[in-house]
Amino acid sequence: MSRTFLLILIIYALLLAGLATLHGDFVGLALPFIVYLLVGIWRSPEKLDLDVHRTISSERAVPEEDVVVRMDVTNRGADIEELLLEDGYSPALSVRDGSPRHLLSLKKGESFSWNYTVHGPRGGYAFEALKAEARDHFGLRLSSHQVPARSELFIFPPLTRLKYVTIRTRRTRVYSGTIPARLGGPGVEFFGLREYQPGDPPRWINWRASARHDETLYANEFQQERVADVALVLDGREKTNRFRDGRSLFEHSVLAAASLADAFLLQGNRVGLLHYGRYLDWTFPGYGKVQRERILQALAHAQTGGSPVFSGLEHIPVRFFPAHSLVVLVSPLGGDDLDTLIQLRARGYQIMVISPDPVAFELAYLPGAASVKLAARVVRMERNLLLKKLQRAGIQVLDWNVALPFDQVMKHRLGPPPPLFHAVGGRI
Amino acid sequence: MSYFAFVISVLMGVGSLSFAYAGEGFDLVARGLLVLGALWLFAGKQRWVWFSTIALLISVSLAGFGLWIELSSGWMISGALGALLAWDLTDFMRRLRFAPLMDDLRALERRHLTRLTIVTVVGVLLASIAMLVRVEFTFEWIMLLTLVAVLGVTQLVSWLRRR
Repeated sequence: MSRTFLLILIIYALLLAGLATLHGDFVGLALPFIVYLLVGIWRSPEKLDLDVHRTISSERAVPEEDVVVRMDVTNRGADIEELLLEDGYSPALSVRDGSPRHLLSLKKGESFSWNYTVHGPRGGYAFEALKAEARDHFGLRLSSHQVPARSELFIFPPLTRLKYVTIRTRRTRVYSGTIPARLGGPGVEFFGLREYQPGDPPRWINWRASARHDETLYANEFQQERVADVALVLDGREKTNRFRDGRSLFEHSVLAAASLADAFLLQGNRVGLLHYGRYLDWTFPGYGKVQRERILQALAHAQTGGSPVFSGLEHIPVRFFPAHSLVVLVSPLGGDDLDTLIQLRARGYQIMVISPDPVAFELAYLPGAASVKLAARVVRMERNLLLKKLQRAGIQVLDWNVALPFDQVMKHRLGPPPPLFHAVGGRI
Repeated sequence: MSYFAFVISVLMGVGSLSFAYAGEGFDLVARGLLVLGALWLFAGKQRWVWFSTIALLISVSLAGFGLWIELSSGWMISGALGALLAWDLTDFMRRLRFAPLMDDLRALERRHLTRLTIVTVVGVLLASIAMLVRVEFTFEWIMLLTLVAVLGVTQLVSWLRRR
């Protein structure tokens, strides 16, 4: 029951009682209530006119990083006796310091500012509006208003900077980059010999080869280095990522995808991202920092999900990937994924699988009983067999025990070859 | 500060009514009022805001009944006023709980209590004048009050229909 309604009810009850009993004291008894009601109505808030401005210390953060939200509110309307301000932040965020809510009096033209600090897990968060509730001192009349003040905060996945990721693709693009293109031309690595042509730099002349032939000069040819198309596929299927007690490998997969996207884009490649989970979320391929931002935003929103349609990898839309491009699948893998990956390989795609190891991940949380160890051995054998079959099909597989840092594993398996390797003329 | 004022208000409201009823030999009602006061204080501690509304209605009803059976009108007004203040302060304390500790709650409380004191003084003054003058229910008074009541009920019905 509204407070005003209750007061009116009491006042009229007393007045009617006075009338019924012809007793004047009832009017006297009603008077304090009438005064209280009239003062409340007299001082009731008018239409709210607030100017709200929100500033976020950093619109891009990493998980658990403190982000300071500053609110500036100016009252452009009449005096407000009691004003409750509450900033609308996502419930997934936690307030570490300060408060998003304040109760105060605000006179006409007066301003009020406050800060509060939030942190949260990976995701994209929208701050929609500031909720303002104005009351008179007796709380009889309420004027509520949502003042729009839209801001966004992206909490990106924690990114591990990979210095170099060695990849080989069948087809490269025309722009120069870092991937050997299997074509002669300007470059660093020796590719072959050809007859010297006017215009070639003299230092390209291979004097040893030229000495063996009369009147013909031979020049070294180097392997051209170009950029390539890379399609990152992030497996967000519930069935491959979720484990007992809500544990998930997905955060590790997201970290790997973010780090790989960053490394590929730094090398100048054209990178696209496909999040394959409850639905398909495709980030169109692109270059550079803008594309990095797009991919990180897509990864910030990425969640696991289950769908009968996308329970297997057979619905990966291959038309999104340029022909003969490199497809990097980040997935813990399931037994029924083998055929799809082999089919993709058969279509001419270069495939690399980065697979966070689900066996080691789950085993770390299980008791060390003999039955568990036996089960782990069986599952481990099944997984090893799956990985071997993939490798035999020409798919590059990186089995990642998530207990080890991703950059360490990548450096060991796909990092730059050691200088000694180059010195002896080694090829990867 | 507000809680202290709330306790005082409950004691004033329930104590006044209880004293008046006990003085006229209505011991059972007086004891019931003391129990109501104890429950009201307990509810205030437990933050049962809804209890204040019930307690206010009971207190005002008993004050009205007291006037009808010719108990001291001063005590009855004091009882109803105490109940009104306790009811107001219960809701005010509820609203204060939304505010973080860093806010200047003392200033808000001070302003609220000042306003409440002014309203109380004005209310008591007007009520005392009305009782001292001893409004006689002449035909004109009855007509005026009937008109006010009819207008009020009409407004109330239209307000309820709008809601």
